[in-house]
Amino acid sequence: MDTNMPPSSWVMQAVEAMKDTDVYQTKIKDSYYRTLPVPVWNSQRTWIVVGVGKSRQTGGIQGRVTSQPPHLVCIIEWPQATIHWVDVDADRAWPYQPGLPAPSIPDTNPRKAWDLTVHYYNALSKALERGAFSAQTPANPPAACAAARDVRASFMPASPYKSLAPYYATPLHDIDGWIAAHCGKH
Amino acid sequence: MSAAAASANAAWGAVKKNFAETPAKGPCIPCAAAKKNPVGAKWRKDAGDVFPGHQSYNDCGLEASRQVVEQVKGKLDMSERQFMDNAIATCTVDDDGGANALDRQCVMQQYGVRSTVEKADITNVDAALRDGKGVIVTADSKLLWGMQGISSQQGVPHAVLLTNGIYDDTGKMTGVWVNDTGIGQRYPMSTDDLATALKSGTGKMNVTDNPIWPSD
Repeated sequence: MDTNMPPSSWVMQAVEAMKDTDVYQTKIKDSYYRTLPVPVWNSQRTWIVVGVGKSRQTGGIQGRVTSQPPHLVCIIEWPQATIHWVDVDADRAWPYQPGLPAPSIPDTNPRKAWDLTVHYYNALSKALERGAFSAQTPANPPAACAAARDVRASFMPASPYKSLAPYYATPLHDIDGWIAAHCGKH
Repeated sequence: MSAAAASANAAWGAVKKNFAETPAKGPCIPCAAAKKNPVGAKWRKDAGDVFPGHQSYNDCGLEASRQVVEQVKGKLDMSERQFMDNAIATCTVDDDGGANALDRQCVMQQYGVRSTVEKADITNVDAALRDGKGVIVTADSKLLWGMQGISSQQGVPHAVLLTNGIYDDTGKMTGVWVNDTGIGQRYPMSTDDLATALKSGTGKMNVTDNPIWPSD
């Protein structure tokens, strides 16, 4: 993947690269759900993580996806876009922490759903490019904080899976924590 | 009439003289590039005849494959359930009918229909449909059905059969016809909507090696 792509397209490119892997094309069926890419970081590195799981729908194909942890997790390193798949106990791999309140996912106009997804992808790309969601202090905190807030604001509207909200509690908690720690004055 | 208005009128007159008369004296449209609409009445009829309606299981990809197989081989003497059970037994299809592009390739091969798995984009869709080939793509169901004004609780990737392109006078593909067993409907979709829908899917599509639709 070209890591010199404009920052607005990095996450989109990464997700497309993920879908192009043999693992995705062989182990994942069309009907499986896919979570939003979420930022995860430690003292050394930052990744985006996408969970994929089997959709067990009630009420037919138009019914709800039963909430269950993703069973395949794709870890994409920022900014190299190196892809790792984890096919193990998803509770360990996916950033899911029981006990945090499940965020609510607002209803969206279906026609606008993809626009909201693209907005989130672009916001996350910009935030990563500006040094947000990292243990290091960003070079330009106001720019990084503005981008991080856009990620937070666009996260839930971009999610099409209401029943997966519990699995977003941890990454949202961490995003909020990063903003609180770095953006008090910005 | 002012000089400026006279000048403008003269300019419009020149345009009318050169481009807007019937038949036009100038190349107002790139006639040389215009292509014959490849989709005929029999094609459209077959695309409707092969459509089974609403699927009963989580087997959208299998039902799309079955339409391709039946278009090539004729009506199969088996139920949706039997077709799905055979697919589960012979390919790596989930026990509820869930499949991916490689599974659909395997299933169609079981009935003697060879296909390839290609990148799902407008260029490849256009080329395949123009050649009369069978095309199965995936898209997020909420997005796909939302474009038809049908709301759903939430979306999952969903496979549909594209049966033919819609072309303008210049031969450009402006849309496609979709056979969608998820909602039991056939509908047209603009190329712009299709491009968005493809981005929301799994990134791959099935294309039969040979044409399956009649050329008339």
